[in-house]
Amino acid sequence: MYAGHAAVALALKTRDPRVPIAPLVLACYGPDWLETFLGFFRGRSEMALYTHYLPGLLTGALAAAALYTILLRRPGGWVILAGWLLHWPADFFTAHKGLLSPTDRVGLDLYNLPAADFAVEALLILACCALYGRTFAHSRGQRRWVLAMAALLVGLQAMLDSGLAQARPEWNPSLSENQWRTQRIFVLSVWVGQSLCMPLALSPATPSASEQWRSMA
Amino acid sequence: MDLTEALLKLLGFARDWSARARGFAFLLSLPLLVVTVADWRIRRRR
Repeated sequence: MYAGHAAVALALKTRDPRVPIAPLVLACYGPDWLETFLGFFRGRSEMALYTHYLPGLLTGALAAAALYTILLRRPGGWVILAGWLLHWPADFFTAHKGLLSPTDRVGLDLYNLPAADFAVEALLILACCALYGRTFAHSRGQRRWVLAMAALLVGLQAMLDSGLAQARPEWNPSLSENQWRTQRIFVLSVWVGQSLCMPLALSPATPSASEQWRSMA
Repeated sequence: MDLTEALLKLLGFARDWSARARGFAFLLSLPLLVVTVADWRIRRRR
């Protein structure tokens, strides 16, 4: 998701107006900024896997909320946390994002269906701007600024989607992981069981009672 | 790569700077700019 993340920030701002908008928008785009920064060390596409899968997302969200609370000493750390965490469900619509493993990814892949992506993000922008306007814009001048902001965000989204459409995309939504895998608890119990069995399997063969009887006969 | 080199890349001073990464950072900055300016104007008018 592109401009939709900014719309999510506007909606969150109405929940706690004490949180400044700039850190809130930064938090809503947090995994993308982190991916860009970490990309200088190991390559952006590789880092994107780790900043956007669920454990990485939760780690980043907790770190951002802690930084905000410690550095700015302001209330509303939970809004920063929520903004960072809401990045994943928003990106689920537009791309493929990791669940518990960075490589097994799910998503509706609307970036490869640019018209649908534009419709979804534009609707989200308009709804969130309406919510923001209802809370903060009471005069005509203020409402004009809300309208201008909504138009600019929709314009940015249109620019991105027209660029995506020129690449002749192929839509490939995915709602399941690439491969079936067992629960980790089960894998652990099998591993423990196997590690206990192995010494028995590799121990030197002992003669059974019938073999002993045969040798004595 | 150390932090200094990464910062140099971020500022565009390193030779092997990735234009794609710079473009991505620019794209991320645009909604931030739009929303921050609009929010500032709306709050100033209150």
